[in-house]
Amino acid sequence: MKIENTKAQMRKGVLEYCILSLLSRNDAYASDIIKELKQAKMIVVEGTLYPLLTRLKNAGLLSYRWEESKQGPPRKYYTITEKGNNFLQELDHSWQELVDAVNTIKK
Amino acid sequence: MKKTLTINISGNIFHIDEDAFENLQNYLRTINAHYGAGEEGREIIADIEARISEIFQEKLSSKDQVVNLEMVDKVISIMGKPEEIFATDEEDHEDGEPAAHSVRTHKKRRLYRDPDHRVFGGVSSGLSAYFGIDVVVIRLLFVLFLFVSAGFVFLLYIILWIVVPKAITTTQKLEMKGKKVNISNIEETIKDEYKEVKDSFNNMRDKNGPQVKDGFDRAIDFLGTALRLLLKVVIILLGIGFVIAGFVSLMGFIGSMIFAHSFFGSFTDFNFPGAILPKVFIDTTSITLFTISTIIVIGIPLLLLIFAGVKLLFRFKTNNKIIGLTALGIWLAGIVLLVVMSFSQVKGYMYSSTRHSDNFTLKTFQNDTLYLKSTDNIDYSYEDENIDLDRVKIIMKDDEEMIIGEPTLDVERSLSDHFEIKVRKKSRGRTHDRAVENAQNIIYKWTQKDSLVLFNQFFTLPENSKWRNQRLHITVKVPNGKVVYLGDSMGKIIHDIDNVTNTWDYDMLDQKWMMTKEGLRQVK
Repeated sequence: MKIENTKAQMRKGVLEYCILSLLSRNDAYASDIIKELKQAKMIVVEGTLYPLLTRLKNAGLLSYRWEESKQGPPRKYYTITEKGNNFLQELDHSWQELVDAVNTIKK
Repeated sequence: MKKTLTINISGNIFHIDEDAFENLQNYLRTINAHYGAGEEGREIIADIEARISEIFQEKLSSKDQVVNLEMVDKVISIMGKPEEIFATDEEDHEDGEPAAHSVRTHKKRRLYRDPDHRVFGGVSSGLSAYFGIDVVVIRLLFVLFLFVSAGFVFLLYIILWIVVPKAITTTQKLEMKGKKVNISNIEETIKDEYKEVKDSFNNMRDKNGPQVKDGFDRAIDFLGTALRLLLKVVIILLGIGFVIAGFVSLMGFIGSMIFAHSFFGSFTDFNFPGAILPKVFIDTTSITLFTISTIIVIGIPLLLLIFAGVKLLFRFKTNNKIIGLTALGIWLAGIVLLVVMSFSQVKGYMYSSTRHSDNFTLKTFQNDTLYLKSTDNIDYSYEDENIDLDRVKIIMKDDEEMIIGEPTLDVERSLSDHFEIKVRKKSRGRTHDRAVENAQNIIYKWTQKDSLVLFNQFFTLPENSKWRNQRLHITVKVPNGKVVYLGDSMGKIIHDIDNVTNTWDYDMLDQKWMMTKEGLRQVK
C-alpha cells in the first residue's frame, strides 16, 4: 500500500466538502476555486476539478451563471444551491464526527 | 523556421506551433474520448478548454506571441495528465454503487492496430496486445496459414487492416492493452453475470412475501440480467457463426471463380445447371471482367457478413458509415459493370445472318422412294444434360462442355426432277460478318447410301464457340410423283411438314409419302 495512494484517497473524500464550503462563503469562478484549493494543497492537478464541478452541478448541489469578464469570453460563476447548503450542513456534521472519532482513537 | 497554426480555444485566438498543436490536440482528444460525447462530457471538456485558454492568456505576454511546445507541456502539467485526471475520477463515480463497474468498462480491452510495433498495418501487433500473445507467435501463425489457406489469410489481414482502427491517442493505446480479453476472461465475465443472475434470484426469493413490490422489482431486475446474459451468449455465437459462414462461402465462391472454369466448377461434385453458363455465352475477353464484377456483387455482402461477425466478437470502434458507403459504392459499381457487360453482350446477338450454304442434288438411285432416317451422332445421356435452350443443348462430354443443336427438317416440292437437300445455317453475331462466320462454323453431317439418307440428330459447334442462337434447317425437296419414307428415328428432327391431310408430324412417321400436285399425300 502506497502512502501516496492513501493520501490521495483521503483528499478525494473531502474535496467535495471543501468545494461546497468554499462556495458557501461566496460565489466564485472555477479559477478562484482552483486557486484556493491549490493553496490549501487540496488538489495537485486542475483537471480533476472540472468533472467534479459538473457532477455536483448535475446533482443539483451547485448552479452557475455566465458572467462577462474583462479579458476574453464570459466565465462560469458558481453558486451553491439550497440543496447544496443542506448537503453541506450534513457534511459539516459528519466531518465533526469524524474528527472527533479520530481524536478519540488517537488519544 | 516553424509552421504555426491559428486556433480558437473557448473563444480566444492563439497562434500555436505545429508540434505544440499536435500535443494539445492529442491531449484534448484523449480527454474527449474518456468523457464521451454526452451532455456531461461536453460540459467538462468545455470547462477544461476554457481553463486552458485562460492559462495561455496568463502566460502570453502579448497577443502576437506564439504558444510553443513548452507552454503546452506546462498547461498539461497544470491540468494533469489524462491518467491523473481519470484516476481520481473513477472512484468518484461511486454514487453508492461499487466502483468496480465503471473501472471495468474503462479498462476493458479494445482491438486496435498498434502503429508503434508494426510491420505492415500493425494488425499482428494489435492482435498480440489484444490476446496477450507474443507478437512473434501471431506473425508465425499468419505466415503459416498464408500457405495452408491459399491466401485467404491474406484477405483476412487486409480486412482487419481496413476495419480495425489505429491506436493513436493515449487512451486508445491504454485500451489496446487494457484488461485482458481471453477465453478465461470471457468465462469470467459470463460467470460474473451468472452470479449476478443467481444473486438477484436469491434476493428475490428471500424478499418474496412481505415486500411484494420489492420482490416484483427484483424479478424485473433478475429478468433483465438474465436477458443480458442470454443476449451476450447469443451475440458471441452469432459472431462466430457470421465469421464462419462468411468465410466458408467466400472461400468457396472466390475459389470456384478463380480455380474452376466457372461459378461452381470442379470444386463441387454436383452439376449445377448454371455452372457453365458464362463460358457458353460470353466472349473470352469479357469473361474476366464478368468474373470480377460477379465477385464484387456477391463477395461484398459476404465481406460485410464477416465484418459484422468480427465486430460482434471483438470490441473495436469503426467508422461504420464510411465502411458501409464504401461497400455500397463498390457493390453498385459491380452491378453497373454487370449491366454494362450484359448490354455489350446483347450486342453480340445484334446481327442475324442466314447463309444458304448448301444445295445438294442427291445421287440417282434405282427406285422412286427415298428413305430418310436419322442417327444419334452424339453419345449423350440425359444425366449429362445440363441446359436445354429451345433446340440447343449444352452438355458435358469428357468434362468439356459442348454446344449441340437439333436441326429442323421439312419436306417440300422439288422444282427439278431430282431429290434435293438444302441445308440452311443461321446465326447471330456482333457484326454481319461475325454472324456469317458463326453460321459457317456450324458443323453438320448427313450421308447418302443409295436410296437411304442418314441425318445426324445434332449439329455441333467448334470448341470454345459461344451460343449465338445458331440454327440449322434442312429442306428435303421431293420431285412430283416421287415418294419419301420417314423413318421412326426422324421424329426428333422433322418440323411441321405440310401435307394434304394435315397429319401431325409424329403421325407421319414410319410411312411413305408421295409428292402430288396438292402436296404430300400418304401412300397406302
